[in-house]
Amino acid sequence: MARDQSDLLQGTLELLVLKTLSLEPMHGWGISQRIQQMSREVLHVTQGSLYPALQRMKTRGWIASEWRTTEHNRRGRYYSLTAAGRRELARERSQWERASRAVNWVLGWTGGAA
Amino acid sequence: MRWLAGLRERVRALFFKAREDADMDAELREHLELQALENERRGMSPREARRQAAISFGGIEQVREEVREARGVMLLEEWAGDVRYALRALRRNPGFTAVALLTLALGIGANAAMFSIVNGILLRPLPYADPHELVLLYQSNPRSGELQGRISYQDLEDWQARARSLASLAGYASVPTILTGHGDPLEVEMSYVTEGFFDVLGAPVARGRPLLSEDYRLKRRAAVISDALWRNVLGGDPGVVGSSVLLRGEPYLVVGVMPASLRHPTPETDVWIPQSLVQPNMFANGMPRRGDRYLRAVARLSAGADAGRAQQELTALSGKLADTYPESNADWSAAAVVPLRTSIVGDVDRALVIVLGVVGFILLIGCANLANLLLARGTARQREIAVRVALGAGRRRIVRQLLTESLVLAFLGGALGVLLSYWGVQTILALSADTLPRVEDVRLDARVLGFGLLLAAATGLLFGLVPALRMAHADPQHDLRGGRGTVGAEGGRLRGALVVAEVALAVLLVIGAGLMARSFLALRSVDAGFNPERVLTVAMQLNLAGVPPEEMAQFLVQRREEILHRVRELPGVEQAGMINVFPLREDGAFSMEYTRAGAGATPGEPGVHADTRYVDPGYLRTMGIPLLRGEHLPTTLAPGALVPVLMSESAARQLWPGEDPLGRLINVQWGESIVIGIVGDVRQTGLDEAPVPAVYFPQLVAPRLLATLVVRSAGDPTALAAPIRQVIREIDPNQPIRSTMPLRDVMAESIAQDRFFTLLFAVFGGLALVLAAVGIYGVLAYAVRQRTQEIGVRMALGARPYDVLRMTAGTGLKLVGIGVVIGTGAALALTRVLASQLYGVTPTDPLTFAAAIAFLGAVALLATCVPARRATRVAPMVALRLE
Repeated sequence: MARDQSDLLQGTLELLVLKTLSLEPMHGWGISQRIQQMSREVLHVTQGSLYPALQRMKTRGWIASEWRTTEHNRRGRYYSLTAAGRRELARERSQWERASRAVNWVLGWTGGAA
Repeated sequence: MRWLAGLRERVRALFFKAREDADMDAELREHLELQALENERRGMSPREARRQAAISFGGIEQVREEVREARGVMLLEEWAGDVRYALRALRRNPGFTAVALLTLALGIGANAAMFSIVNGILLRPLPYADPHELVLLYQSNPRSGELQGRISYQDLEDWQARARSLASLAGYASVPTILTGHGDPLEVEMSYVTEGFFDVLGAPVARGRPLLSEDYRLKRRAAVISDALWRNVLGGDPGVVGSSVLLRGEPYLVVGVMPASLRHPTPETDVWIPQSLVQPNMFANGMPRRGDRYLRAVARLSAGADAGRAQQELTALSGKLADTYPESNADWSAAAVVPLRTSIVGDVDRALVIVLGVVGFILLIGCANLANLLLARGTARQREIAVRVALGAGRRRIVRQLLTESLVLAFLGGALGVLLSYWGVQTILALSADTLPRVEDVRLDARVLGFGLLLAAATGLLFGLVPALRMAHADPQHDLRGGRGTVGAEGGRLRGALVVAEVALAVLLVIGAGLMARSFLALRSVDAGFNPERVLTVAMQLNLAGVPPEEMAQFLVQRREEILHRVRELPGVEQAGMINVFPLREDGAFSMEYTRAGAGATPGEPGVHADTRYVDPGYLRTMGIPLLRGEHLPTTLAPGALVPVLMSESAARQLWPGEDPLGRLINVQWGESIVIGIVGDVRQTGLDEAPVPAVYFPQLVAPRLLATLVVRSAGDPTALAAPIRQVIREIDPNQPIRSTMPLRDVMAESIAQDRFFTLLFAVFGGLALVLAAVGIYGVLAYAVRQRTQEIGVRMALGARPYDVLRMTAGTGLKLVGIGVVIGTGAALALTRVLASQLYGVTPTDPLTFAAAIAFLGAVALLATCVPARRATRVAPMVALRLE
């Protein structure tokens, strides 16, 4: 996987995971596949950052995990959003939107007084 | 709650480390598998798919480490490391650890034990539904001062109909009765209860049914019995409901069994029967009238009402009743309402809380000792810590490490203490000799365990924080160079202050114990007004089973005479007499107002409230109550003549101050009586209460059910117990005997609660003294060791052993002196709280203060001299070579 994407992911990985889990409970591999798919193959989540992130979010009480049988009839650890996680998603999302709006303004700046 | 989830996650991480790791591995393996499957789906060969998956995953070990770190294991592992380190340090110093654990176990154990007792008696709710709503009701007679009087059935019905502040109320009257047919005849306490009694308390029956309206209306002989009676006397027979029991020789149908938690009106009550069964012979005119105040009452407050409001309302209602029925109610124009809890707990709450404070002080003394030990040990560890600081350990880190050690110690000590408290509670309750209420509710519950835990944490911080901070802020450079001196001086001041504090606390506690002891001795040697030597008391309630109501009075007179006659014939009996209710025993005692009659008396003038007792002529002689003037009661009453009475000196003085009372008349229930003799005053109501005026009637005029036989023996009074029981059994095999007890024991029993609290104070005062002595000894022994070199130099320069002794002991005695001064000041300010517990001694009794200070001073001197003497034996050469 290309390393140049990991910088972008660092700050926003948790937001992406929260968003992904808001759709349905998923196991780790599923999360990384889904993010890849939803970002139209632009974002690749490395396992080295995904699993520690999942553990951190669990410790903060945003997500919960349980062992379940997967669609391939195997056992997988499924993560799901808690109520606190849902609140966190809303908070991070509005933060992200504000930040990206601001970045766009900066990039769209053509000079001169407003 | 998020922090809670996080904490749970961390604790899980710590305790289920292996499982968490296995889970993580399984999860990562699963990820690889899925990736491989996905790769296969995209057309790779299985081998290639697997290889690519592994490559894309990256270093699996690194991922695992990162996940572990995210789990927060590091912080907790560090902490677990601190705990392990602390445990190792404690193991390395078994002497220190043993002393510290013993101190903590004793201190926390004493506190947990006292708290268990306070929790059971004062804090736990009563075992009834919404117990805070329950109150006791009394009718009050402001004129006579009888504020907690009984109430008649008629008045109670009026209260029930009109009082809005009460949701429900019920009356009851307890009488001792005799149960036969199950082994030896048994005296049991029975309560006539009005309809709804159990509903007011919110107490459902455990078996069968409560008393129903028909039981009352049809005057059915139906009985609800106690759990204790059912289990202990009726053998726990499951078919008990529907069976019958013999009470006073009459069969009663057992309709229900109450749970053990129902303890009203008294914990001893065994039988509850309908109030409509009250026997006509209990009253002057057959059935009870409005003037017959024989009921106690319990009530449940309405929502929003409190005892104060209920009292106002009932007082207003009583006032109206007094206006409407002046004949029976004129003086009973007020009411009193007391929360049930207050009434049950009584006056022990203050004493218990004081003792709880005392054990708290003991723990503080223990903390001072431990802080001292830690400070001393800290000096020894100074270099170890200096090395760690020099190597870059932060001060916070070191404080945390040292505090962890204290906390580990405190929690170990706390655990031992709670174990110890279980045994302590048993001991304390055994010492209390049944003088504490609600001991059934004393147990080791979650609240006690929580208290122990909290106490351990607080203790650990208290004795650990200051030493930890001091050690962490030591100067590493200085310590690494092996320096001495300055640290010692400052540390010495701190240790000195701790010694002063614990001596002050010990002085306070020893003075408290001294005051209690003096008070108890005063109480024990009080002149009760009678001579208790070689007197045996035999208490009973005469058995009336099978006696027709119209013959009961005659029967009681004859039965009393018969028992007295037979007992007087026993060998070894010098004198014998009988009284209805024995002094110092409360149940059944009553007082009445007596006014002057005959010439010189004005109608409506106030009389004297006198304790009223019914006796045979032998009673006063047997008891050694002196006849001061006039003559004793006669053995027979002349028909038609005035009933003769004896009066105590104080009663006569109040009625006829400065006049001759002999031959004077007083108004009594049945007309007038003539005073034929004046006798000495007796402490009827309690050894700690002043003698009350008393009137003695001949038992012939109003035969009572209750009887206490008093017998003066030629030798050991207990030797007479068996023959007297035999005589009574011969007279009536169904006659139970409540107790046979030497009069000395009756007196001891009446002050058992004082004895108990005095004992507690003595034990805890002694503990405080020992702990303080250990503290003084420890500090001085340490100081001597520190100054061995200096002492050696001084001796080498010509100091005599006496000078060394003075120097070292002087330091110790100065500290003790300051502590004694502070402690005495504190005692002067604080012993006031003991005032209500003291008899015959003021809270600032100079003699007690002096004795306590002298005693503590002697102990302190001893604790000082042992290490000081060791200092004088220092061999200069050895001391100088130490360096």
